[in-house]
Amino acid sequence: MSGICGWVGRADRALLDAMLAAIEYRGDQTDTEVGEGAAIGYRWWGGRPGKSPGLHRDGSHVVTCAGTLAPPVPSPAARLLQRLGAGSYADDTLATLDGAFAAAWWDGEQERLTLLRDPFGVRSLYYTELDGVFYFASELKQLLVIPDLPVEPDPAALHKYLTFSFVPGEDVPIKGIRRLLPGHVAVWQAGRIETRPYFTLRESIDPALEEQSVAVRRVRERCQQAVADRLNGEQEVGLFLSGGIDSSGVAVWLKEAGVRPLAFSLDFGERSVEREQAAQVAAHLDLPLTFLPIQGPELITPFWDLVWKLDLPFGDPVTGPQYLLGQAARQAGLSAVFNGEGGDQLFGGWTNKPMIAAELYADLFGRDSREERYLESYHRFYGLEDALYTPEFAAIVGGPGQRRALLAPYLGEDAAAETFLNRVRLADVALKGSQSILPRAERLANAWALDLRVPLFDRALAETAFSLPPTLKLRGASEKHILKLALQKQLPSEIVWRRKFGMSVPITDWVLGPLAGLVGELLGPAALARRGLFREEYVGRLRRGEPEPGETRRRRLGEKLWALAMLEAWLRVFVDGRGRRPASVPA
Amino acid sequence: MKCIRCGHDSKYKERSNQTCPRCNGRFAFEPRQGAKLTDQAFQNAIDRVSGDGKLRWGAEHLYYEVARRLRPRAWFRTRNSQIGGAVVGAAGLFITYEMGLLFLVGYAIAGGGLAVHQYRRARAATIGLDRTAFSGMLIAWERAHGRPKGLIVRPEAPAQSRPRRVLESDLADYSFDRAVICDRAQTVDLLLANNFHFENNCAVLSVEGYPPGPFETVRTMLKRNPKLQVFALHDATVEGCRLARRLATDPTWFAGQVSVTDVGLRPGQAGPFQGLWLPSPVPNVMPENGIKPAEAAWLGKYSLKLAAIRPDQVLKRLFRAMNRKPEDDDDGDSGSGGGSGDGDGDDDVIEDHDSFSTDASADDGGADSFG
Repeated sequence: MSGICGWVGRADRALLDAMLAAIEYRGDQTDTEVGEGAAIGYRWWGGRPGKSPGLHRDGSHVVTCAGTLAPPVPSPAARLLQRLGAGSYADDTLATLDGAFAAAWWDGEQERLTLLRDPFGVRSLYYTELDGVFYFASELKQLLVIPDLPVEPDPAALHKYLTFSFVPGEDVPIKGIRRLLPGHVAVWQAGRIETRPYFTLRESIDPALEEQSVAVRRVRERCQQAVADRLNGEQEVGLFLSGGIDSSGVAVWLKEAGVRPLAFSLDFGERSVEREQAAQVAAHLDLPLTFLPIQGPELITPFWDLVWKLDLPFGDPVTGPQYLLGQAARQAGLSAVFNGEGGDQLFGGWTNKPMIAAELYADLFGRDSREERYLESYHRFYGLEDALYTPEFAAIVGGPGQRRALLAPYLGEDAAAETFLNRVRLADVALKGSQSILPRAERLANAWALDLRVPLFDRALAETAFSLPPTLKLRGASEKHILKLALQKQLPSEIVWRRKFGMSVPITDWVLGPLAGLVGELLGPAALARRGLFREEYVGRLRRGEPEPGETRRRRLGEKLWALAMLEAWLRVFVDGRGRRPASVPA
Repeated sequence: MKCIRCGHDSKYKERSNQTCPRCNGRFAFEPRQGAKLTDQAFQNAIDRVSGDGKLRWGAEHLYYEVARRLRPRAWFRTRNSQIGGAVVGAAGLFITYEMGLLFLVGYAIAGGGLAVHQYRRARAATIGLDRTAFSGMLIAWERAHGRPKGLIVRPEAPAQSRPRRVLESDLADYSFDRAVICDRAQTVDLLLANNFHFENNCAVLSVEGYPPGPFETVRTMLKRNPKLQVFALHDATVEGCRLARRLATDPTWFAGQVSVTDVGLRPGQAGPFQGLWLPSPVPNVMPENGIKPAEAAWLGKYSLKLAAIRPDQVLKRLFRAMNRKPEDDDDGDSGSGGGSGDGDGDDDVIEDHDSFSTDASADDGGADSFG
């Protein structure tokens, strides 16, 4: 919830109102400060605990903060100014800063703007420069209201999207707009911007945690604290309960903190993977549970609102069901929801396993590098570019190696981890977690005026996770082993120790069934020819439901088709429509 | 004959020195000089076996694909035979009219004998294409068109051609959810080259120690998972049919640890591949060590390579076998239905008769695991 925006330089005051109006679903209150050399705006929901009740003004300083700190404070903006200091600050002032926030601090005396984003990237922050004015905002659509800002898609960013199903790194798929990375601080002064990290996750194995009982106790305490730090005194909170170990664990720790959450779970009918487990956990913990049946057609009506609220293109098919889950939570009268995201990234979910298998056999046929295997593991279009891209698009996506370069800090020899497992974990945290799971979940909750709490992406908990011996994360083939040990007394044994089945959205059934008309309109021959990015021969095969030879998983076809459909929809709303709220289906 | 490079259709007398008169590209085969296939037909076989160039495959897979194409079709299914049948029938009527019934009887006996001969030829159990002859065809193809895309060629000396990567020390500390153990290294190559291990978090080894580099590391890792699922994948040979039992009873493998699922091929799954069988190298097979009496009788006469199944189907059928739910095995039909004990009271071996008996599609995975 909440959002910020502003600029350094001279611009029309009315622009600040327009930038705040672009995110009116982020709050019913606004506050602005417009000075000679800068302007700052803030939108929030009044009466929500843990949120800054307006801009914080202190002499020549103006601070705005969207989001909350962990543990919560009455005014995050005031606390940030206190932590950062009145004129300068050292890194150690940010050493324990945690929460879900995006902040801006204007120092009028120094004529300096400081931007700050939370450690894991729950909240977003974008910036651009036009005619000597430096603009920033919580959402991309806010920057697109700047008059005369060229809105041109960035082919290199689209190229990355087509590999990951989200846009990683600092890139934004519109030329000239950048994103501040999670855990980073940016300073704009005298026409120059400097960015640097204030938080970097790195492996540092603690010998004391070699003792399993000590490690279990430490992890359990950190998890309990992480949940408690994200309770802002609400009477009632929601929980998105999948039936897996992570969200079930959050349910346990919420109960231990004295909160009985209202649980919500997805029901895909006969295609459900964990429906029975969610029901079992709710019954075991005595939680009220609402199942949300989704068969596909429910996504047609809200589709364009979903695309608009997501702000960036996200190709994971879970976004539609999550949007509807948020709607259900809001209709139940809630203003905050918890989820269990982060367990896989921190404690070693299933994605380690294919990477380990690939690594052990890597030299046999002398094929792909570790980085290439990691890119393949996203199962979108890496390696299929020749089949998918038109020659015109292929010619402008940029040189080779740009996607692999994103992985070097995590998978390469200079990675901040010595062990293979933690190297892959670091890549997953930085890419999948911080640049896909967290921002999209925040926007989907925010679409329904819900404040999102992601306790497992807690700074101290993450640091603990990377101080564990990796065999406590993956013990034999037992994933997230330490979490299972920490929860085995609180949850039924068959929930804790069963083989993992991920939440699999039956997207192939949907895109070839109830959503085929929508997909056909977005990716039919005429639409493809108009956009000029993709070959009709390849996309047509997907639309006809013809999988790749040797493809064993039916869901991959739907995942690919959905990723393409979401990109085309995003281009229509954000490039063709300059981010304006779509009134109806843009063609 | 059409040139597969430029599409030009040339007559024999225009093709001097087996080259296309338009593009001067060399033909691999000249049917007028005894070749059994045209270049286009061989290319079609490569396309089929490689999934239009998207899969890796072994020379043995192409051998069976070519053999399939050269296999005589049942006489009554060919268009020429149907036309010929009409002509023969008309001739019979003419003979009866002109020469009387006795001549017709003789005519019918001669025609029937020819038909039976044709039928038997079409129903021949063993493969008709000589392996050496096929090797010659592949060499001729590579001379004319280069190495076909996707052909698996194992590096002869990987360790010398490039420095082996130094693996992180923790890699060997983990395990796998599943293991596929094969009777032959070529089957391991097929699975690894097509990323089956990566897609399915699955160890792939041959029982005899292939691939030698990671073999012992991986086998040790497998023993760290008490819930490991083991699948035996093999040819329908004596050794292949004993593989699951060997894995389940050999202490260096999984004796006393986990059960082993035999997914095939077994003689009971060989029916659809009649005409691609090989003569058995072992004339007398004892019904023991996992081989039933009826199987022993078949294995004494024939064998069948897994490579007779096209690569995309090997991958899909194996995936189907690995993702069968336990209830899929409870159909109470141990003969042709789901899994069963092997009949010797050996509970450590489960036979999956279904997964490799019919074609599989990408729809067969059900709610596939992420693991």
